[in-house]
Amino acid sequence: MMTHEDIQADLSLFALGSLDAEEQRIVEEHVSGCKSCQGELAEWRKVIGLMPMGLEDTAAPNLKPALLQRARGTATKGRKVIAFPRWTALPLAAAAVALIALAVARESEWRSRIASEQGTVATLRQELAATNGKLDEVARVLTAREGDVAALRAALDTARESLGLLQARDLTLVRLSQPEAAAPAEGHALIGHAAGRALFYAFELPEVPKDKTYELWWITEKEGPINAGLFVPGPDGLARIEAALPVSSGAVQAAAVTIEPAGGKPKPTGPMVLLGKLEAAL
Amino acid sequence: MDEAREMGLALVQQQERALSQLYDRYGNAVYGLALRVTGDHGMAQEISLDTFMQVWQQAARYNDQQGSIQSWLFTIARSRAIDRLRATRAAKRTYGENHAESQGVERPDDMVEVAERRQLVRRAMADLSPAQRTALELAFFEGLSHSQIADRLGEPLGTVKTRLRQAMITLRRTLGPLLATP
Repeated sequence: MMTHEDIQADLSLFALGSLDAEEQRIVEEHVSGCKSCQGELAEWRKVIGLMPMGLEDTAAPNLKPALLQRARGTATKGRKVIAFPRWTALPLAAAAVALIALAVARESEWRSRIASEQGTVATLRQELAATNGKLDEVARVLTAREGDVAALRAALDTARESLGLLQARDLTLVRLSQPEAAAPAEGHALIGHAAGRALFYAFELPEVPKDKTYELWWITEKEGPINAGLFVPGPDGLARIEAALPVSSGAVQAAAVTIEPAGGKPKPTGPMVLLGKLEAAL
Repeated sequence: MDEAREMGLALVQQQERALSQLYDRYGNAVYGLALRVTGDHGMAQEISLDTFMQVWQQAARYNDQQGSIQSWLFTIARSRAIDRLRATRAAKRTYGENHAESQGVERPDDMVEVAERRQLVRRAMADLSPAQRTALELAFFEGLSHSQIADRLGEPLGTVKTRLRQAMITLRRTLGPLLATP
């Protein structure tokens, strides 16, 4: 947005008519409501008015007779010339002077009103611009709020899923811990047998390199380890996945977590970091 | 009442004498401006006549608070000339070639003052750097915007704007003594 100072710096170019159309419009709008710029612009116009005087002397063909001829044509064109008796000259002159004075007064009044209206228009434009600015701000806040609502809805959906499983009557809790006692990480799986689903949480698992991932396994009676899902803990060391129970692999005897190459493996290849046995085979 | 204001009032009152004096004083300058812009003598004559006729017919609209009659006259002439230039696109640059011999037009005494003004303006234009003068002439005589001037000269837009601003500031400073007079 152009400030008063920007516009003042461009007034000479505005007077010269060299601004591009959009700049020309902006300056024109500002000047219509700014007295100091109007004064400054008048000075620049004087400078430009003098520039043609710098041209080399050029003797024009004698156009004066043609000019005066045309002027006479317009002076009498469409006017009815009425001859008045001489004694009417004085009152008529007085009337003419009065009419001229009246016209000058009216013109001055109209100029003043136009200037006042231009000032009002400029003020209204400024108010409109300020209102548009506030509307933009409200729209921005609204967009941010909509983002918050979407995030809250997603969190609510997750909570509902978890709640649905937690409300199952046949819930079994499997605690998983590290095979070696040194590390603090642990996890647990909440298994809904009838639903055939489980919620798995892991706590304080360290970050893995970008080319690695954690993989959850169900250890089954018939087929051994079955892939139950991949996960990467968040910055707080917490991970959560929802996993389906195997259908035809025999009873689940345990749950385990290993570190595998990114994308996972069909059978464990990396080190086991968590293991938990079910109390009774399912 | 000063001379310029008196002439303005006489024009408003449609006094032929005022039009005649105005032509004596500025006829050559208006014609020279139109010729400089269009490069065509025929067009320059038409533009000159139309310019003086416009002043004659619209004299009642003249407001000396907004500039001198001379400024008004040149503004009309320049605007008409640039319109013709754009419309026909046939004009050729003739700057420096318009040194036609005087045809013996009688100059009244007040032409001395006009001659002095012209001298001062020429000196002011000569004080500009060649690059500033070129940019200013393209803007003033050809009616180009600064973007068009930048394209024409193959220069960055910011450079052209700065040149034009500096040229105008220099002119205003140098022409200071003339600006005080209406």
